[in-house]
Amino acid sequence: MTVSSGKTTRLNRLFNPKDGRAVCVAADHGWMSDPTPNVLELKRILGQVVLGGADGILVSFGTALRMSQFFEGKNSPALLIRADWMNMPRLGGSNLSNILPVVNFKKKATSCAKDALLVGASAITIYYFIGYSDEFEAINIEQAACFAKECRKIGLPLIIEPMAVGGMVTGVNVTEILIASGRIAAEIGADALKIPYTNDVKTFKKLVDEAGVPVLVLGGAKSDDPRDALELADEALRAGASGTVFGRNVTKAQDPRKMVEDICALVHGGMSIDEILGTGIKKRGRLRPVAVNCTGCQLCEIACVHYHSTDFDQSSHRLRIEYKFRPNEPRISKPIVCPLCEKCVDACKEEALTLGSGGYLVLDQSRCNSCGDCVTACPLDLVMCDRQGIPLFCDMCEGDPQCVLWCKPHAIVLTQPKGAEKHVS
Amino acid sequence: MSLKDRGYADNVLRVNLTNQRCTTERLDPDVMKLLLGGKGLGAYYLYKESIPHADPLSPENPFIFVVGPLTGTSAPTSGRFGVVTKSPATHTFLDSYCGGFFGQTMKFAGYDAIIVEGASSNPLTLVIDNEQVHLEDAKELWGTTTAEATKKLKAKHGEGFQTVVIGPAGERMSPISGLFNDERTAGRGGAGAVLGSKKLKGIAVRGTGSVQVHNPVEFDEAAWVAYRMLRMSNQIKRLNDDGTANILGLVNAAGALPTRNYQEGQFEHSAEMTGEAWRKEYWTRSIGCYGCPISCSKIAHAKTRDVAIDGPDFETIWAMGVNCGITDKEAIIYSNYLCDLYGVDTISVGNIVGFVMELVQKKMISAAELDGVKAEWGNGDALVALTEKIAKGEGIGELLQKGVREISKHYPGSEDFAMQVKGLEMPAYHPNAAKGIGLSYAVSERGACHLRGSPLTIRWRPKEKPSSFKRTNPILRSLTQRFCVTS
Amino acid sequence: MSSNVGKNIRMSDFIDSRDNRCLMLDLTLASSVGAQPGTENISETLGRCNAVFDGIILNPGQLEHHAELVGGKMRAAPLVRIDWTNAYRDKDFCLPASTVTRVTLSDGEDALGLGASAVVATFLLGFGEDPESENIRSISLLARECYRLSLPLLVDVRPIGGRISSDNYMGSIKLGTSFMMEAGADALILPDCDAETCALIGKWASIPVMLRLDEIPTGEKIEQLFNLGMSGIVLSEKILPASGIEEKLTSLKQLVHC
Repeated sequence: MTVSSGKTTRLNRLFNPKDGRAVCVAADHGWMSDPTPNVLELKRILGQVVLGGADGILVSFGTALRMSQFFEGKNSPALLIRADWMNMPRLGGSNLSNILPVVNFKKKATSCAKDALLVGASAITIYYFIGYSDEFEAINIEQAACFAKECRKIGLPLIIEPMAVGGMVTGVNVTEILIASGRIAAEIGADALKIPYTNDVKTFKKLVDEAGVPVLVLGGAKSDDPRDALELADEALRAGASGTVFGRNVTKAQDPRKMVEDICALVHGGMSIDEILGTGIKKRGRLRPVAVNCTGCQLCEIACVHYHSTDFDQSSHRLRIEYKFRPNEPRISKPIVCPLCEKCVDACKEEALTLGSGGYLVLDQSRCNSCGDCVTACPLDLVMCDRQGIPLFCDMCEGDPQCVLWCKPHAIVLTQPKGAEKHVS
Repeated sequence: MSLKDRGYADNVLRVNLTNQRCTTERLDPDVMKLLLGGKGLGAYYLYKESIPHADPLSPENPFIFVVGPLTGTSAPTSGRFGVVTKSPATHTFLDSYCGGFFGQTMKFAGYDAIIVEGASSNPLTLVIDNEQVHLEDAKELWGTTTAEATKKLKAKHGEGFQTVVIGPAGERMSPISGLFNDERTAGRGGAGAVLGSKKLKGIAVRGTGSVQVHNPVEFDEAAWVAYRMLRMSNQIKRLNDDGTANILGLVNAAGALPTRNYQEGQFEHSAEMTGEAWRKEYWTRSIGCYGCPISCSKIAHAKTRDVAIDGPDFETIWAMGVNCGITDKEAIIYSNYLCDLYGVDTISVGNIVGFVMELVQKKMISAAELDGVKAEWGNGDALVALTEKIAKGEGIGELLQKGVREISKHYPGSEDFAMQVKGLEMPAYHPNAAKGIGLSYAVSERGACHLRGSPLTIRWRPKEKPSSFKRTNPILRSLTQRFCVTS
Repeated sequence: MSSNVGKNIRMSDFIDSRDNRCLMLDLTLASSVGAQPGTENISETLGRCNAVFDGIILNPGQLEHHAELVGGKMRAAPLVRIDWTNAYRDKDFCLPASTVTRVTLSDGEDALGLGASAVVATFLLGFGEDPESENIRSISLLARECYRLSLPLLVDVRPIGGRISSDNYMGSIKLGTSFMMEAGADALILPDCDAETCALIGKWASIPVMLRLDEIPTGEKIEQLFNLGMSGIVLSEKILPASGIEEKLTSLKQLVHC
């Protein structure tokens, strides 16, 4: 790839020369939507982001002027300037929880590349909206081409952010549109892309390959679970992405610094998500139901069944949702999970069922004589026999309980009670 | 590769109520390639087995329960089931859908579809325990409310059984009656009346079988990604926080929230009716349907009337609230409760009450005709009183339960504000604010339906002031006549 | 103010001065509809093709990023496509165009900075009055800029709008040729046309005319079109997926520059 020396040196400031990757944080939300807490607390959050070791921060022109201290110093993040403005987050149709909703989609170029260069930017970022209307896309292309021309002249890298938005975008064509838009942006003159994940590695790899320029994946709406954002980044990296530009998943995180550190560990450190979050390691713990959170959707049962067999059925789950019916009231549900009371272990005369070293129940099938004592011993009716007479019991998915993973409202959690180790050899 | 490896049960249960015989048959693998999901399957059987010009309430009209290949798997939100039949409200194709827990149980019992044909002379219930199927007498259930019938069926057969039942309105063959799985409803289009005409009070089903997918590893990955997308979606978060009513403010701002029987497109008290307002005042907890992490359903507790229900959802809040100019939430909850109990569709009931209130406003109906109910805009007690009459089919309710189209025939001059298409009362999106919606209502096989082509989110820009909408009935009528075959 | 020296030198980068013929490749469809079969990896495509062709038409972004693969003595000269249009988005594309637009991506100065030997503009015909007049205006401005900069301007005439039928197709090509010569184009790229039209344009046009082809022409066809007064061939990216393309292109090169 040949670019002018201005572009080369500035891209080197953004992408870590060792691995060619970058962890960026988008903090331009106050420029386009309501002053939510992450906007009001921007200064504090950006301080955290810098400490976390981000390679670049995307901000508006005004923020760049007011908070230039974050970008001073050789090892501080590169300054990326959002050079345009749009009103998509306030567009009725998807959202009304904002102060002043709008009906028509607008986008304007607001900074010129030269001004961005003068305040020390390492790149500018602009949108490329595709799918709203042919006319609107043409305006986007024209603006992008204009920025590309200017950037070439002054040696400033241009990051284009294709977004498939509008009534012409459907679940069926969105991936194809994103793939095409990435390449279109590169043809116009993008030096790198900021683009949403297509939600699977195969199609995203196609996007990255066909674009031919470095691709930074964006995070989208904030998830309650930091694992979601990390998983998304991990998959994008496997597809060949050169890094991330996460916004709300960082700025709305409880600990933005930790979140940036985690992403850096993934992108630069080559660590796995399980290593970063300390999951996946077979942890000793117990399942605890939080009845008040339960919505009764039975996803825990589905996850349980499907972990233990390739089929789906409604009868072989090792936990259950119990419903209570009261007159003039809808059903109320609560999860019944194995508390590891070990009554089944005590009942097993053959010593086939034991509490294993991992802290979960294991069955030695060669010793099991299908007597069914464990089934009758269970005070919660959670142990049952399959068609071959083999007992089915909660084995905590060998230390990584799927019910906990799939329960969105956190009605089943994993806790580490004291004395859990007492039986562990 | 057999259908069984691809999510299907490859089994259809056929129940003939006339000769009380139950048989099963396989799916046709060649045909299945051409059909999409449960709706396709239901449409296929209805097309194949119905007789032209058959009366929807005659034994010749088959009634089909369907599920899709994803039902029973971990695919998020796949737990719904559908019913397909000829509608007594629209006299054409009807597919109506319902969440809850019946769908996957039917699949686990081993059925992709249950076709109910013929009619019985005495009340029956259908009991399905996996492959064991029988019909039993339902004399003691006939006339009971949905809650009571459900309770009795579960008491008799066990908690492991899932049920669908019709209420007294379905038994009376009201074209606004639906069928009920616990508190979830397949409400629109009069499905309950068809079962009522067959004298089938309900179905109890238990299923302990399983569903296979072709490639479990890839299926898992796809399901997990879908699940992650749900968790990372702003829209889903709003749906989770504020229920389906989270869009009420938006629809209102767009001028598309039909107010006082569609006279206007904006409600001056809309802030009191948003999901947020309901959450703060009335919602006690979220509940989810099978396999759905969204849990848009909220339990609402009406303190003064001491009932708690699953609901009201957006359409109900609009129909019984905004469309009648009502902000009395307790009245809305209680009316919804009555609708559930007697087995009628809340959207249609809200529409009927709104229509009656406009008749009153225009002095085309007297209080005496309404059995003394003072049906003025915003009167919550009138809503409850009229709902009760409709639900029970008593007094003026006997006429009102027939739907807006039938009622307007009794009041000459009222056709232009009888808000219905093909006999189905209109849902919560005003076509004046989004003309495409009007076209969608006109050409939808189900009549004015909120689940069909929904050109809502784009170009939602009313040209007129929402407060001065002219109702579009003549346009809708001409569209309907031009594009659709109706009886 | 300006002589034609610059134009002549740059033009000779891609039209061989020995035989006044040229063989070019157009890789710019991707700006409208994304990567095409054979252009998924543009640097690999350029590596394969840059010794065969006299010129390769690229979008500005691609020329900027792959300048080392084009130009110079042994390689194809780079030409820059100066505009973008959604006119090629038909029903096969995930987002078919309903309103056809054309916007300018670059200008002569930018193209010179990128090292281009010429700029290529698109003249769309048959889409109605507004797009046509806007297109004419934009190309006229560009022609004046190119004159000042001594940069050759090629115009790609595309009669593909809804108002084009089989009856007026050949006529539209003639009309486009006339308009663009009047506007000040230095060379034209025309769609494949029948012998009669070719002969007429060959005699009439005083500037080089190339034919745009979607498949590799036979020896017979090449001979015929040069005999009719054409100056060269512009192949589209549609030829790339064919099997044994390298050999086919090598023999094509020999046929063109015999």
